Amino acid sequence: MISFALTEEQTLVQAAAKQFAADEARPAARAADEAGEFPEMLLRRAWDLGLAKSAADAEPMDQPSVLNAVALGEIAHGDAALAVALAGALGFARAVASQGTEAQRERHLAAFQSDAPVFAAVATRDAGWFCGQGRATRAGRAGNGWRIEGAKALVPLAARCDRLLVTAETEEGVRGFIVEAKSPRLRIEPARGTLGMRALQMADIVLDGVEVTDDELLPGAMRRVIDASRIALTAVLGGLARAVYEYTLPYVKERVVHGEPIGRKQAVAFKLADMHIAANAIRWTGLRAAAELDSNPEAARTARLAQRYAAEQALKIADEGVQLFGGYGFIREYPLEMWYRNARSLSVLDGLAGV
Amino acid sequence: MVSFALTRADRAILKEAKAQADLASRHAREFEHDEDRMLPHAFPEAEGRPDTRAMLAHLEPETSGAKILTALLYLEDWRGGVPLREARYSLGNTALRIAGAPEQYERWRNRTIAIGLTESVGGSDPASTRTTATWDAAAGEWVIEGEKIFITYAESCDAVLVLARLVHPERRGLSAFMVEKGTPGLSVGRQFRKMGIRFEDTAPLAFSACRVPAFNHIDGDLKSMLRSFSESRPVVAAYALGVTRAALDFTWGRLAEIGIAPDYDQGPTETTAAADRLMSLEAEWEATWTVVLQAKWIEQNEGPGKIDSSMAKAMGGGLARRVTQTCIDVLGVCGLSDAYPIEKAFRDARIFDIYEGTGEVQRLIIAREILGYSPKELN
Repeated sequence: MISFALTEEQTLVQAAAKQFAADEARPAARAADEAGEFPEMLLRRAWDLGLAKSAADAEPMDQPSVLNAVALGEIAHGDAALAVALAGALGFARAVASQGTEAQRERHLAAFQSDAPVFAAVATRDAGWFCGQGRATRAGRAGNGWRIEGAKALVPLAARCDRLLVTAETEEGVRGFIVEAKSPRLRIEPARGTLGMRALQMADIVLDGVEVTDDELLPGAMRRVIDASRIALTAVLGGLARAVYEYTLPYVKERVVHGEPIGRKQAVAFKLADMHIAANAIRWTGLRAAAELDSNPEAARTARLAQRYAAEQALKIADEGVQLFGGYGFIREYPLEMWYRNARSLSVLDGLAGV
Repeated sequence: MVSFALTRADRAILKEAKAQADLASRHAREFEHDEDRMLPHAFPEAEGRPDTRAMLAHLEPETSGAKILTALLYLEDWRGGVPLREARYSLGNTALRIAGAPEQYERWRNRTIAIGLTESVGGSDPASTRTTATWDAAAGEWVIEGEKIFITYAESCDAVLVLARLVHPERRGLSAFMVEKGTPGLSVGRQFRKMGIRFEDTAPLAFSACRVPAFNHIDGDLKSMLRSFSESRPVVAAYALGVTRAALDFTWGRLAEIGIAPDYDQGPTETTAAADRLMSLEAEWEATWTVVLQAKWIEQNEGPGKIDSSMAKAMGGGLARRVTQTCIDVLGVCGLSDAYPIEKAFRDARIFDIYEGTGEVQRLIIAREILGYSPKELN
């Protein structure tokens, strides 16, 4: 039955994430972007929300994808980069908890119960052909295990990840392999800085014949893992879009030009209306895809289309945010230019960064 | 719990509606050169098939709700290009239900009621209404004078709910009146010659010394009458979803003949420009579908939201324009031919960003609410 009502549990998690975003994530976002790293304390406080712990739980929660989307949307409202930092661990934990063997869950998920943050990523996108590293990631049989060759692009917090879920083409189609970051012949390239989301220190990972045992092969296809990553990305874009809209709304009422607030001119007011329309639509198409993934074997179409809509519209909203602030939109004293860079970055990250 | 899963009863009703839309589609072009012809209450193919709206009334407790399902039924009607069975329900019915007294609603509830709002000087601005209703105290009647244009159901309706300016010793302002067909002084003009939706009955109405009894005065406030738009606007967006669904399906079907199919995992460098553009529209279609259902879900649970209907309508109107324009781009010359349904979809779909409030009117409503401006402060 069609319903737009969140459960009580989802509402509670939403409220906690919202509070954290407003009190801690948003105030720290600019400094983290400038420094190109998150303060340790902020990562720890984000971890304290308990999202990854619960994602790693063997006991299945009700609607885990909806819960994640709701929480990530709120955190992204504070800082999209911080939301992505968490999303990597969440994606890894959900994939292993829901699809992994018992041995894999024991081996890789115990760490998620600790009080110290655990970093992990789902690395699905091969490094870009245009960017020098271009090579398809392939895995072939080697003795009792597998040998992986290739490169993955712009993994968030790559240097801090202990574990990665790496996708690779095999003779049986695309499969996922759990790879320890310390593995021999796995090389993390230096982070060179990126347009936006700078605190994530995104870096390429090169797999130069990395060998893994057979029991690190994740059972099942990668469909759900990819759908989940797109749903998480949609949630982050939705939170970012709403942040821009809500920040811009009071400004256009205050900013006086030619004797009246710019918000009283249709050319400006209609932009705000469009931002509101699209931010709401991103949120609900994302939650719709999440609800579908939670009750169906896959949600390939809705997840991909939600992410596509979110990418296009969040960029447009962030772009208009800069425009409506004029010069203030361009200077780094205000968050608009950062949000614009972040929106541009996130909207090309489909399947790329293990979000 | 957030859910987008249709119930078994939802699916049964919608499956029948889809089958009926397919049957109706063979009649979709019959009105293109015969605009004076009225839509039949039902096409012959309806014989022996259940009335989906009656199915809904019967199964309502097992469905996602009458309002959500009604929007989805209209979506299916418009997918076929013309309804197999006429709904016999118009905006005037909703307005009467909301603004009329119980005895007034009882009297006309089973009639098709058009709404007479728009005049030649404008439809978006009811304050510009020139039609008058003058109180004749001696007769105890209202005398209506004026002209309305672009009235949907003008010819086929049983009655019209007309908006007029009061001329009364103690009262002023705008109010609504029920005028039944056959009332002396009410005349229906010639059908408008339109770019599209030619099967829809659209004509002007003239009121000349048209007398109605005091009982016919719908004395609810104007605001409550205009609130009927909050219920109908997401339905217009559902019409847009129907026309654009058919257009997208047709376009993908032609592309499949040359080996182009949607692939949800391809990036922009791995696909054709045609597929990439359609995929962007598919994304917008799904977003609009979600927001139309959101508006209807809110309406079912709390009554129509202040701006949710306008959000759905604005999205539907824009979607209709973008999808039909782009499908012709992708199809090229075959999109122009009367032999295919796309040129008709292009002409039909353009109305959705105009009637029942233009896209600009929806944005005004939304902007005033989110910015906290009165109509005076933002106009």
